[in-house]
Amino acid sequence: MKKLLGITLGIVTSIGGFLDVGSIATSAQAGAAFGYSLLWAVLLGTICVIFLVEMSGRFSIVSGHTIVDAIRKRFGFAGFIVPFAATLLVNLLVLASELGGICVALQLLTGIRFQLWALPVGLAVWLLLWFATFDVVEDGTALLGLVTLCFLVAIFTLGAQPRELAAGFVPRLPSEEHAHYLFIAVSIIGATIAPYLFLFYSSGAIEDKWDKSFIAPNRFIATFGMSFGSIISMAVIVVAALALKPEGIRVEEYEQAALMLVPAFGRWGFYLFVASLAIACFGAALELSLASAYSVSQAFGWNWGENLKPRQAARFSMAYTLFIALAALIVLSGLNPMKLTLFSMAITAVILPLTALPFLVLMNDARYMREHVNSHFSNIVVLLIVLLSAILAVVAIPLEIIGSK
Amino acid sequence: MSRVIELQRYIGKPVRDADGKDLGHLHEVRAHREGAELLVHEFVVGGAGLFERFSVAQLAFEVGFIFGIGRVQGFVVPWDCMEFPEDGKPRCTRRASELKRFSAERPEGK
Amino acid sequence: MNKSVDLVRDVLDTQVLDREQRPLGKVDGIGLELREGAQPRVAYLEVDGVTAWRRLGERVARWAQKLARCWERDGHPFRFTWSQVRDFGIDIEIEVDGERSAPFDLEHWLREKVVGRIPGGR
Repeated sequence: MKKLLGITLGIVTSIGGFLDVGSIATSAQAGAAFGYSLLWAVLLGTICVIFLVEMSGRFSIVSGHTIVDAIRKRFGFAGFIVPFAATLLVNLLVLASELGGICVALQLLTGIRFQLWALPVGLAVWLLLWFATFDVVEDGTALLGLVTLCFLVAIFTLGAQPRELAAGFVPRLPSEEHAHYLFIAVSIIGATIAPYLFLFYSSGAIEDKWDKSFIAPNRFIATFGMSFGSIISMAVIVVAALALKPEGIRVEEYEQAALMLVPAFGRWGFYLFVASLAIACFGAALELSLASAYSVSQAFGWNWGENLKPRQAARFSMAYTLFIALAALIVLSGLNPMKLTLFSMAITAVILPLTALPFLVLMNDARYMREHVNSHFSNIVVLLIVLLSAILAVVAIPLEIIGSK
Repeated sequence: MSRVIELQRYIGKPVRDADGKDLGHLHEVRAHREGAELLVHEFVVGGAGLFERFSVAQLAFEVGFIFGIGRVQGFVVPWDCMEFPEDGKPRCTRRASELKRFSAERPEGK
Repeated sequence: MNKSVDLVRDVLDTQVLDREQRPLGKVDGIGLELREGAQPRVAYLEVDGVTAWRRLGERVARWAQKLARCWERDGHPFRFTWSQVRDFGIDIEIEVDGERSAPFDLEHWLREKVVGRIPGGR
């Protein structure tokens, strides 16, 4: 019974926590510019993330290691430092994007410029991490994140046609704007398969002390949590396609995206969007900060844990403090939040192989996984999607930069 | 007469045999317990691993092994046939032809 | 208990825990004593951040050393011998109380200088 509750909570928090600034921004752009035709990108990313998250949980359960700890042990300090540094750098950019998302939401609400919110928002994120425990952070924000279900409700209100939706799951280049289409596609995949997600999941499994009895629950949580979560991401594309595309509204800034729930909910639609943006980003910001602190601590063998008081894990707490401060400074610099988000997501797709492939090697190492090594199927799925995304991203990013000049 | 070396300086470095031929990289140091001591009895040269620095080619090899592509080959060097000069490049005092070889379908890790 | 130990695979970069199960760090270095006419023996295992960075190069090590001087207490890297190893598996557990040892210098320094001064830190 307790396991059932645990599974349910795991799935619910995965749904509530799925949406973040990356998925909102990329999905809004996708729907407004290309209608339903990028739904396949969310599906592809989700399939890959289900495999990676399930593997991540299984790895920590069976090996007793977190992924970062094991990558250093398996490949050596020198071998692991490049993927490690790349992941941290991208985490920083994504964290800045998440903080930017919260600041933009506040700007939409109050009219006060987003940069001025950078320090207060950073402080709020930090305060919660400093004083709260892992469960409060994880469950609290994810439950609040269920507000994003409003996008799902909007689909029904706006009357989406199932047959037209289905066509969106088949990859097809549009008649024009090929470079931009590809760029948004890889950004969506990068937003869906963020490395911090499965690295965080592995640390969470250790924090929650998952044992062998969690192997099956882990599979359920990964599969259903990520699947249902991705439906919300797809919902954002559909709503943008129905509400913005017919009006010719392109999402260059968050202001335009904020209009997408108005046809479905009237004035309340604007507030629902702002709330969704702020809450989703806040939750992601907490996770990202923790994930980065976990990575650094596990890489160097320090004591770590959100359930510890800061005084008991000073290096760990200072790591996330420094991270949040740097990200807040990036937001303060006034970089366009929407552009920052889109590029961070695309860059995530580029460096994904650096983290996912060493992890894949670990998943096939019997010394860590014993009889639970990966199946051929899992290996092929992850390898194909990760490599494909990276290649597409390397092609798409320069084209996008050239195209936007 | 004895000296203490920092073993991690030599891990992953290329090893040459008595003729100057390249044997591969120092891949593993096999030891066994004797009482409260750890004594080294052999070195494994060749094989795969990212331990010396990050390399995309090496990562590709490791991923290849998952799908059964590629073999790991190398030499086993007994403890009394390896030298560790100051310049950081381990040297084997025997010739490659005199050394025991090994071959495996996947690396043992690091 | 299996008598053979692979130093690179199972010892280097493995997590070290002290007597109280506190994480001390990773095995960043291994001191090997080369002896005339006798098998090399593991003289010590070292837990030290600068030693880890040195594996990337001397220049990197110099920067790490400069930084580490801010919080180092006595500047000696933490070393332990194989005889002090109590358990050896996923992690290496040693018979040492690590609270006052060098790997915790940064932790202590941060506690005193920063964390302790912020409310809620305790």
